[in-house]
Amino acid sequence: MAQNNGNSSHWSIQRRVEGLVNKHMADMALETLQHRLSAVSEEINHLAEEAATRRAEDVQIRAEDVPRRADVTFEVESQSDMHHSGGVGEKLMPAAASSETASQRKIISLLLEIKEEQQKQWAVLKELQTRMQGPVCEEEFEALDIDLPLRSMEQLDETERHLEDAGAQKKMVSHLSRMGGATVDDAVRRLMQAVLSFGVGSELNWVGRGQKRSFRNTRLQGVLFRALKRTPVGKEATHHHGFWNCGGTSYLRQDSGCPEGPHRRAHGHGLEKESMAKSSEVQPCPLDRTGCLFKLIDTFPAEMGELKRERGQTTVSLDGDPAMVALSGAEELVSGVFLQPPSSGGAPGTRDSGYSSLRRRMSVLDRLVQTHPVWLQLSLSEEEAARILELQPPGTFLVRKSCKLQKKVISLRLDETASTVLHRDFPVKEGQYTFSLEGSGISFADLFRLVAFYCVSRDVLPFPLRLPEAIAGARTHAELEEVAEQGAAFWDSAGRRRDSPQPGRDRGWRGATLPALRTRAPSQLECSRPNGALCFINPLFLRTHRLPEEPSAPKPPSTARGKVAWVNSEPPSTKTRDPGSDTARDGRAMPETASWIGPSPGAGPASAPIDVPPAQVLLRPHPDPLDDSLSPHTRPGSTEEPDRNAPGGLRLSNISSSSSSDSVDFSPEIFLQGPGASVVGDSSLDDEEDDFEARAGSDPESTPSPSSRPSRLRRSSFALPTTLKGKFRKMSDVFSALRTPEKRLQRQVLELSQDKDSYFGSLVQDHISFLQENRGAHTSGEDLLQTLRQFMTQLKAYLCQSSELDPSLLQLIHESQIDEVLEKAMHKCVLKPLKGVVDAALRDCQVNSGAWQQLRENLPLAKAKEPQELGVEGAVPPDPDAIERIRHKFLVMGKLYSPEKKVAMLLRVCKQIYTIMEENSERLYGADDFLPMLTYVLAQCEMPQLDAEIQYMMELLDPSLLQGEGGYYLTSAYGAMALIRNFQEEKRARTLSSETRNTLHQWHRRRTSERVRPCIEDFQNYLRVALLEAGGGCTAKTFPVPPAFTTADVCRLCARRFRVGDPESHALFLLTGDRVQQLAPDTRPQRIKAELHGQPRPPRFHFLYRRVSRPPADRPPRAGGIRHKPGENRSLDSRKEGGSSKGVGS
Amino acid sequence: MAIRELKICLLGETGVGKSSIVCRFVQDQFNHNISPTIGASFLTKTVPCGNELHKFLIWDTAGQERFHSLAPMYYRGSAAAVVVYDITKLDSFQTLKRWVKELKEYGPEDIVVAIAGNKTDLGDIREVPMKEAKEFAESIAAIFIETSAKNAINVEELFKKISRKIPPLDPQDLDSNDSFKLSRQPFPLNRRCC
Repeated sequence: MAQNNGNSSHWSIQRRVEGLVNKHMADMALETLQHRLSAVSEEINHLAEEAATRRAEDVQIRAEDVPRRADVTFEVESQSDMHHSGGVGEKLMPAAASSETASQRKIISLLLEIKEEQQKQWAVLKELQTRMQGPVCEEEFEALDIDLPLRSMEQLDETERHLEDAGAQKKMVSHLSRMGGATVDDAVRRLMQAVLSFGVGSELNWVGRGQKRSFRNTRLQGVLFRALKRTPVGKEATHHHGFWNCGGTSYLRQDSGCPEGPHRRAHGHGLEKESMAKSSEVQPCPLDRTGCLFKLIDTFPAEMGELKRERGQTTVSLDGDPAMVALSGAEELVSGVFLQPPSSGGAPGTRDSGYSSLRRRMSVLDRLVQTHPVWLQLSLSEEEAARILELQPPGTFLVRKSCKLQKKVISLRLDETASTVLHRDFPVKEGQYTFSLEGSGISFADLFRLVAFYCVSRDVLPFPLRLPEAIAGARTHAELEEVAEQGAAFWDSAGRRRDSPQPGRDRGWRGATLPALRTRAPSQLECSRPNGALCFINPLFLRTHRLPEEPSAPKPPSTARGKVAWVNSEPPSTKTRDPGSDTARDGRAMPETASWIGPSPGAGPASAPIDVPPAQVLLRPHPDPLDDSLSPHTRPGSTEEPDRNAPGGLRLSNISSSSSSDSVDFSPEIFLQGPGASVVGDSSLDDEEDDFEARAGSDPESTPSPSSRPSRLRRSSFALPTTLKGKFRKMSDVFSALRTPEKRLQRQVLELSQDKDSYFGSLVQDHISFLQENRGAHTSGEDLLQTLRQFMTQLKAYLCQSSELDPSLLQLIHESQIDEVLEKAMHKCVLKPLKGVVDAALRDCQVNSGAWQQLRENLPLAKAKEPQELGVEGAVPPDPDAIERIRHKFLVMGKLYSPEKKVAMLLRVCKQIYTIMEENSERLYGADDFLPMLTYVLAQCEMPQLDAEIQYMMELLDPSLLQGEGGYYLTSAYGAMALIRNFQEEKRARTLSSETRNTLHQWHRRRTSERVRPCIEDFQNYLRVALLEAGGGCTAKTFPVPPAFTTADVCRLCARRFRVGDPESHALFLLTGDRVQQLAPDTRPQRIKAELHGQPRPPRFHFLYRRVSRPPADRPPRAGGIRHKPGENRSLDSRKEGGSSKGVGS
Repeated sequence: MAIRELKICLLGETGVGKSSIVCRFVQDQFNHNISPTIGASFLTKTVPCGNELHKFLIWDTAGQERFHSLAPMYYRGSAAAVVVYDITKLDSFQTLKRWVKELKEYGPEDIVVAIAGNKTDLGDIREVPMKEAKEFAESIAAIFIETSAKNAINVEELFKKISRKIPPLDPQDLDSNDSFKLSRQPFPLNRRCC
């Protein structure tokens, strides 16, 4: 292998070897450890049961396990490794045998032993390093009676016949399973190369399309599959199609080495496109020892394309994980989309191995995100857009907001030869969570993905979108940055540039043709390699498809640095090299590639370590992974945890831990670029990297900051390999949650709220500390909660209007979603820290007001009642068990801080009650049955604290949710609780006390009035005046009242409009707080209103038109005689509630 | 088409078939399309009306006397109230009158009131003459319809009538709805709910 690389890159391979091979050794140690442990625990079980057969078991396990491990893990490794792994087994087994009881302690000690073992392996590593540069050992395979690779179709037929024999199949499987491979992808490629010659491969086809034979139906395929399953990497993957997909796509990449691939059929599929694009690159193929075998690859793109479609349509998958399949739709397309870099780049055919071009690749999405100031011009008018697009080639586009449609549109420059208009607008439909083009069925999570998709596929467009040259051709982030900085001005310069293209720079596209685009499946993206593509990848796909270079995939830049610093003490200058210097890059790209891809089976030492499911070490900035995994941070909990964390899972857990070290604006785009960035050495990326590293550094793994700890722990629980599959969905949730702009906005708000330097942060923090210190300051629970609610509402309004939030982030979120997102953020940054304080304060208030006592007294009374006495008829009440479960739910509810989640819990309780009611009945139960049942259940639960809970929810829940189901059941629960509280009274009067009713009214008034948008009467020239009728009724009307109108004028107007018979005895009053003032005839109500509104805290006030002679005792707001009016009266304008009255001439 | 959420409150004595009417309404059509809900006391259904979509959020109330006092919480903020009586029970019609009175007095000012005489399938034991009920409905400018939830008669109609009576989202013309009771929040004229 080393000989392939040439001398120029000696240092590079050395570095790779030292860094990565070491890590693989560590991987292996962990892998070994895991297997040993499982073996040990298995054994312990056996021993506990049948101590007598211990020896036999021992032998059996060893016989089963050790050789297999040796086979698989250290297969291509040097003999010394075999020896070592054997050594481990030797050590472990007796240890286990003697530990029937304290198995856990044993396991720990075993771990330590393994660690020792691992240190020994370090020594082997040294040796390996030297060997890496030495001649490569050839592997020996046991003879097979089939001559592989198959060179003709006849041979294939023969093999098929041969494979009819199960024994032969088995043999072949075992033979082929030793092919090794770092990843599924790699393994498939090796297998295929080993089995099929190019000639045969080219006659095959996955489904047998065209004139070719179907490979799918051959026995050989089954054998290969089984062989693959037996490889360490194959064990991880279960997705049949995924296998071939991975493999196939990797073939695809390899096909860059084969310019004359014969089977390029245009299917319009991205993969084919890529293969076309790829093979148009003329590249020497120095990596390939087995020469023409590689050409086999070329037969696979078509099959793979078909497979992909198949997978998308029929979702045939072995483990049937719908999340994975679902995700493989447009997301896959978009995240894998790449622009084909200009093939003219670099001196073709000389030193460009094809990998240097990879380095220039950034995904379209990446480019779009970075340059959105250019194409995302929401404020642009149609004319301006037309003017800009006029100068641009067809396909150029802008995203703007159409005033006409009140929607975002993609303005696309059309081809003037083909159409009469120069550009057309394609409206973007914004669903609740999705963006799509009108008329198209494909929706996307955000605008960027949408645009990225349409850069590749035209779908409903006349042709795909085209990125301006400067963006599409940019090779580094710095270049994109440059473009982005120009913003809208870019188009002016771009218009000019079109006329005079910059010479000497290959940033332009070939001629005037539309961009050549390539779609690449995630598994093809070499994001993992230091010289890999810069791209955005759905992390789930990384996991599913197991990139061939996965070992280094998730490695954050810090690791790369760490490696340099720790292992090699290599001067970091490698990272800061000029990105444009092709020679420098090539020099390194090739050897690294070679050492990694190991194109042929048994490629020697380099491929050996890759056999183990790798990855786990690679995120660690620490050179000793085992140390890490045994560190206190990962060790606590069950004894299995360290090793469970080890193989596949660690990668993910490490991603999350390194990313969660700064969860606030973590963006996966960045971390996935990590490795690529570190080598590309692009300055802008270096910045990101530094940033990232700083974050990671400030939060070493063992000491997570308090804020990040919960999320980390939560996520790392997803990382257990045994449960990994089942967790995939959740994992994808976690990741997509990380990605969504909503989540990011939420995090930004949260971060902001903790930043005391920002205005928002100081507001929040001050308020929180104020409440914490003065929790007794509020007279009642409602008062406190209302203040909180108001505070949150104001904060939301402030955030929407202020510039403290990233406007581009807000831009990404559907307008109707923003409030919801902010609401959640408010809960988190205000309610969460105050939870304890508020709970205690509510309790105090309850106790003080006597409600607590009342409830305490009445609850047992209500509880003693039979269901029938509470009005339950027909339906079967829940049994004590069910009541206990409900109680438990309520207890959980009490621990939540978010009113929405509390309500969700309440709904679950309601659902449970309903389920019980409907269990033995066909009938649907309405409120007639439900409310009594709810009352009964609440009484049975006997939880006086529920009262405060319900109060909390009612006052703090987002008002927009009050009309929905949550509001309904909350209302019901409140009603039921109120009935219970007034149980004795209720028995007497069969009605709620007037007090309770008033509370209900007030609550509803407050809560609903808060939702009202500014009424028309808030605006100038309108005045709302209430008429207090003699009978106690109240009517309000809103009149147009010009500012010049005096009170006398208004009185006249009122008299007319209210049809008052005796206007002389009526007058206009201003009601503020508790004070009523008669307005003098010459005052101007509009002025007064403006004045009141102008106060910092506008008091609540009303204009009242009533009889002059009414004694003050009968003042409407406090009048006792009116049943519903009093509370409501004040509610007229609760937005204006507040301080004291202002002096008004009377 | 704009979706408008409309809160509809169901009132009426227990046993007159409030829930049945709603269940019939919600489940009859688009059976596959019902959003999963907790139970039958809160159901939603979206129907087109003109150039709007009306999403009815139907709040059922408990008809028993003891829960009467909770009713204001339920009908507060409602765009419409369906008051149901049983044509075979004169008592239920008397109760209905009380409900209507209360609604007129304390309910939202421009609440659309619909009176539904349920159980027309039991016409032979009718106690409430249709004429009487109809006249009463006219006197209070309420929608009147006799339904049979059991046989799915007129249920759809009932809600269509309500839908038609809901004023369209037109914030202009202030004077036409200038008579709010002081105590009530104006009917959600300007706002799209949720």
